[in-house]
Order: sequence, then C-alpha cells, then structure tokens
Amino acid sequence: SRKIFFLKGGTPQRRETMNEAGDGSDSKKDSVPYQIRPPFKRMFKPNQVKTLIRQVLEEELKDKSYEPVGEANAKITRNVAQAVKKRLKELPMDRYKICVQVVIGENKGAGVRMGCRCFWDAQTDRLAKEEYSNDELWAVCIAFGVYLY
Amino acid sequence: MADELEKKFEYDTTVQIIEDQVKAILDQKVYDAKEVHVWSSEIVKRVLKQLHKQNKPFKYVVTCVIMQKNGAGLHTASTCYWDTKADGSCSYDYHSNKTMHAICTVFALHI
Repeated sequence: SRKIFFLKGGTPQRRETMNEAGDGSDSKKDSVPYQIRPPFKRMFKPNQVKTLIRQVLEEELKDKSYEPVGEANAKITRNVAQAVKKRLKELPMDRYKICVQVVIGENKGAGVRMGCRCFWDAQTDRLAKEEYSNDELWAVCIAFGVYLY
Repeated sequence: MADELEKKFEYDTTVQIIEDQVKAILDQKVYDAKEVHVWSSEIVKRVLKQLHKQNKPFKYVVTCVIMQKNGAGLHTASTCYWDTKADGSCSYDYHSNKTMHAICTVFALHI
C-alpha cells in the first residue's frame, strides 16, 4: 500500500491503499486487510450441514449391524467420519476448521447421554448434529465449524 | 522459543484435566437416567473452565458421552480438518465405574 496525496480543491486527501487499477477508485473489496467475520454466503450453515450429515448416515449405515468383536465396526465408524468431513470440505466455507465426531453404539436398550460445550466465538462458529438408528445400532454425528481469523 | 511452546496443543495436561473432572463427578455413582444429564453437563462445564484457566490462545470444544453398562458396545471416531501443527484433540475413557462408561473428548483449535 502506498500513501498518495490527491489535491482536490486545495486540500490534500490522503489515501492509504490503492487498488490494482491505479485509478484511485474506492473498491472496498480489494482493500479489506483482515477478515474477522465470514460473509453470509461462506458461513457454516447448520441446517444445510444437518441434512448433509443425515444423508451420509443413511447411506453408510443402512442395513449395517453392530459387530462387537473385530475391527469391522471401528472401520465403519471411521468411514462415516471421513465421509462427512469430505462432504463438508466441498461446501463453500473456506476459512473454517472442521471437527467431526461420530458415536455408534449397539441398540440393546442401554441408556446414553451425550453433551458438549464450546468455548468459541458464537457469531462465527457453529455446530450441527444428527442422530440415526436402525434395529441393530444407533449413531450420532456432530460436526463443529470453527472460523479461522 | 516461548512462542513455539505457546502455539502447540498440550496433550498430557489436557488428559489430566479431563481425568480429574470425570473422576470427581462420576466416581461412586450409579447410573440414573434422571441424573445423567446433570452429570454430563457438569463434566463438560468443569473441563471447559479448567481449560480456559490455562489462558492459551485456543478455542475449545468439549464433548462427553455417558453410557450405561449393559453389555452393549460403543464406538467413537472423530476426524478433523485443521492445522496439524497447532491444533489437537485428546480423549479420555472412563471405565472404572461398575454401572457406566464415559468418554470425554476435547478439540483445541488455535486462533
């Protein structure tokens, strides 16, 4: 950025930044130095992410059953988490850091409680969660989007 | 050098914090469907408070799952899209109680 003095009617006006065109036109888009809030189009939208998670859960877990012994279940859980993360990366939220957590349990009548609490900037950071269950298993997937300043 | 240390997520101290708080709340307790929402809220609230006291430039997400011991199985997985040098997560698994399991996870994201 260069400091330029324009003489307009005798009084000097200082311009701090100049855009590529060099014609001194004030285009705010080019001279924004530091984004502390995402524009609306690039925000993490909980409802959109919720439907996305629901689609992934139904796709991955339909007709699956819980295998208590062996690696099969760990693999399924990891796959669901990777699939959700992959689809979230495709959304237009470029400055967001993403955390996805998936919990899958056997549907045997046990009681479960899941809670979470976050210390973040409530205006930019959001979460989206979705549950799914079939005869054999239940699943909960929660996705957090945290804006990077 | 001090700046480098400030930047990284510290796994050991965080696991210790989680372990202390979970044990303080769930030791000697019996699973009760009416009380469990209070316990899980208390755990996440206290862990978050202890993490915040460290005064580090991080944003935190704390989750806690409490499940009755019924013979049913449970799996959790998490995956993150972040800066691998500065951000981190850790998880603590509490199983010494006879009637329930608890898994508490912390994600710490550098500002």
